[in-house]
Parts: sequence; structure tokens; C-alpha cells
Amino acid sequence: MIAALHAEWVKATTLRSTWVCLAGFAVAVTGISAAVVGAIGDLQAAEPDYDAGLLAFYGLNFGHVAVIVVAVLLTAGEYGRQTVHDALVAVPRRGVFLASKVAVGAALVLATATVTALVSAVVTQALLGPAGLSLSKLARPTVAAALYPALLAVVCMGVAMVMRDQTGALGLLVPFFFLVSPLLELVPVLQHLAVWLPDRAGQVAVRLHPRPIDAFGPVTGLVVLALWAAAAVLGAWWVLRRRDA
Amino acid sequence: MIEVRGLTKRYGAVTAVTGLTFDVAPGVVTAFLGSNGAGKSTTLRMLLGLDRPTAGTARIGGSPYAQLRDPLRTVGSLLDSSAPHPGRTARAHLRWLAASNRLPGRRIDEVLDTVDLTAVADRRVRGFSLGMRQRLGLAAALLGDPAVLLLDEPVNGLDAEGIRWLRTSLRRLAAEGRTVVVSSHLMSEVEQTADHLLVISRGRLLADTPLPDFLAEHSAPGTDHRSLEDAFLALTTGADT
Repeated sequence: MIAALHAEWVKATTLRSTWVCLAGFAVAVTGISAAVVGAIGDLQAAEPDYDAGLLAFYGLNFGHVAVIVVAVLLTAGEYGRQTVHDALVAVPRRGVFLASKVAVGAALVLATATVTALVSAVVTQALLGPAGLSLSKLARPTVAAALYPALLAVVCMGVAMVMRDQTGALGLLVPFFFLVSPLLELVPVLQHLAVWLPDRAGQVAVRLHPRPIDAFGPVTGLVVLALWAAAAVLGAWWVLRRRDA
Repeated sequence: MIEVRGLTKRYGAVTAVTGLTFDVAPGVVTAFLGSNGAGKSTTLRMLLGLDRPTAGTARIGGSPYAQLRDPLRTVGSLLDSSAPHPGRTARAHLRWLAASNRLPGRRIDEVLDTVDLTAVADRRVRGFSLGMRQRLGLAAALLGDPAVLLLDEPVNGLDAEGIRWLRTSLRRLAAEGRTVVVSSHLMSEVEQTADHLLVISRGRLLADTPLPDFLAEHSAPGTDHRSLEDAFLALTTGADT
């Protein structure tokens, strides 16, 4: 298992695309969050429905596209070029192979997202001046902003391993999490179901205050997202064991 | 070293391989000979645990491939279907393979040197020619200093010099007591390299004999010229009718 983890680590870190995506995530999240807070933070902070968590990590809505891309490249990316045959010949036990791959991908995203969340929190609150919250008041949304991208990456890695098709997985996951899911949350009939989707559930924990449509609190939100992640990985494992490589 | 018993693979209605049974002995070069689509790659994929047999078993050193501990130390393989990631350097490709089977880092430099890729080791595979990719594949197969080599169409893309180098290497590896299996559809190449033949046609094993015996058995009567191509065609077309 340690050898397989080491191999996945070398694989992930020797591809330029991994670093580009992770850096893209960090820049998009901190940059967009800071820009939005800098532009309209003062006005928003005076509103009655102001949510410091939502605004401080506003860039996540865009940054998570980079997370989806890196998750797909690390998994389905191996299928397009049949690199996966080499990988499964080197590590024939499918469970070990999948677990190592998901663990390394999740760890890289978690490390990046943790730093990104801390920087976003500090920078945005500093920009707000007296209206800014201390880091301790924003602690839970900050932790959530670090965990949410990592768990979303696991969901995407699982789905991409099931699909085994880089283009197909990107074509499904990017529009779904960037457009479809947020829009569904705005449709009155569907919004009570939409909050259970992986990204929506995770973002509940990033907000500081509950909304009327929220069916659960922040901890449950992260648990719902984690359950999606577990389901996706189980699906990938089932497919990997059953299908020929 | 390799034991295949009743190996069968069906993809839906298509039967790729039917009831293959053979052993491969160490110390000689065994050629797995057949036309395109005869079932060579399918058999090798099942030996390597990539495809699941519909029936039968394939064992290497007494156990199924998937149960080998650090399999690259036992079996080195080159698959026709597999390709290194174009975004990685040759060295990085070998680094992750070495890491996956706890192979010492010095093996990377050694195999790069063996296949003459040291000068381009830190270049991305994207810019490699077919021949360079093939050499990298052979380097990967040799990485674990394995007792068994399974090479699917290794001559593909190699230039004259590369082919000669491969031929010499295969002979040397077999002489060292390793089990060497080379699949090929190139008769003249097999004729110059192999000691033993496994002839496969339409998923069935037609012959499992030393090369000289095969030539003697299947060459046309009354001719002195006994080429492998003639013998192979005499056998396989005979089997079709």
C-alpha cells in the first residue's frame, strides 16, 4: 500500500497539469474572493442577510472547476492513453490501486485548499476593516472551505474512474457543478432536493448562517458530501473489479 | 514458469481465445505467433491480470499474476496497447514504476542506459518517436530484473539497429535462464529470434513445438526452401478449411 501510494504520488507530481490546476484553484479562490469583498464587501456587510462565510470564500464557486479538472486528469486521464495498463500491471490489486490514487489526489487538494482557505479568510476580513470578522469567528467556514474541495475531488475521481473517459467526465462534471447544480438551487420546486447534491451540501458548511431552504446544518452538509464521495469511490471500485482493464 | 490451462475469453458474442493450454519453459525464446486478431494480445492481457478469463487459468511461477508480490520483480511486460503518459519525462515514467514495486532508484539509470535513452531521459515522452517509446517500454519491462518477460510485438517501431539490439538482448536474457515470450506477426523476425513456437490462429493453439521441428513438419513437400512464412501459412490456411 505504501509503495502504491508512493507511485501515485510520483505520478501526480510529475505532471505539469497537476500543479497548474492546484495553482489555478488557489489563485482563483483567493483572487476572486478578495476582489468581490474589495468591490462590494462594505455594502454587503450592511445588509441584513449578510453572510461573511459566503462572501469570504466566494471564489470557491469558480475555483472548484480546477478541482474537478485535476481529479479527472489524475483518474480518467490514465484511460485515454492506456497508461492505466502499465499502472494495473505494476499494482494489480484493484482496491490498493484505487485507494492510493484517491488518497493522493484528495491529499493534494486538501493541502492546497487548506492554505487557500486560510489566506482567503485573512485577506478578505482585512479588506473589510472594522466590519471584518476575526479568524476564530470564521473558523468553521474556513475549515469547511478546506474540506469541501477535497471531498468534491473524491466525488469527481470516483465518477471519472467509472466513466473511464477524460472528455466525457469533464463534459459531465464541469457544467454540472459549475452551472446545473447552482441553478437547480434557484428553482423553487427543485431547491429542496438540490441542497442534497454534493457541492450544494458541502457549501452549506461554508456559510456562516443557515438559509430557509437548508434542510440540514453545516456538519450534516459535510457528511452528505462525504457520503457522495464514498458512494462514488465504491462505484469506481465495483467497476474496476468487474470490468476488464 | 508459465502455465496456461483451458484459457478462454469471450467478449459478448465474440470468442477471442478458446481453450488455450500450454506451458512456457525458461531458458529459451518462445515466440507467440499469429496473425493480427488471432488472440495473442488477449492472452497476454489475461496472463497479466488485465482481462478476466471467461474460463481457465493463467499462472506465472505458480500463482495468478494479481497475487504476485511486487509483480515487476517477477514479470516484465511490454503491451502493444499501453503507452506512457506524454506529459511525463522518460525518467519520471520509470520513477513511478520503480516506486510501485519498491525497486531501487539505480535500476532507473541502469535500464535507461541499457536501452540507450540516457541522453533524452529528462525529456517529455510527447516528443518521442515510436522507436524511442518502444525503447522506453522495454526499459520499463527490464526495470525489475524479472525472471519472466512478456513482450507484445516488441519490434514495432524499432529501426534496423534497434531490431538487432532487441534480438541480441532477447537471446542473452533467455541464455541467462529467463522465460522470454515474444508475440509477433512478423515471420522473418520470429525465424531469426525464436527457439520455440506457440502458433495461434483464430483463438486456438495450432502448434507448440521447437522452431526447427515446426519448419520440418509444415514445409511444402518437394521443396528445399523451408521458410517460417510458408510453414505458418500452410498450417493456418489448412486449419481454416
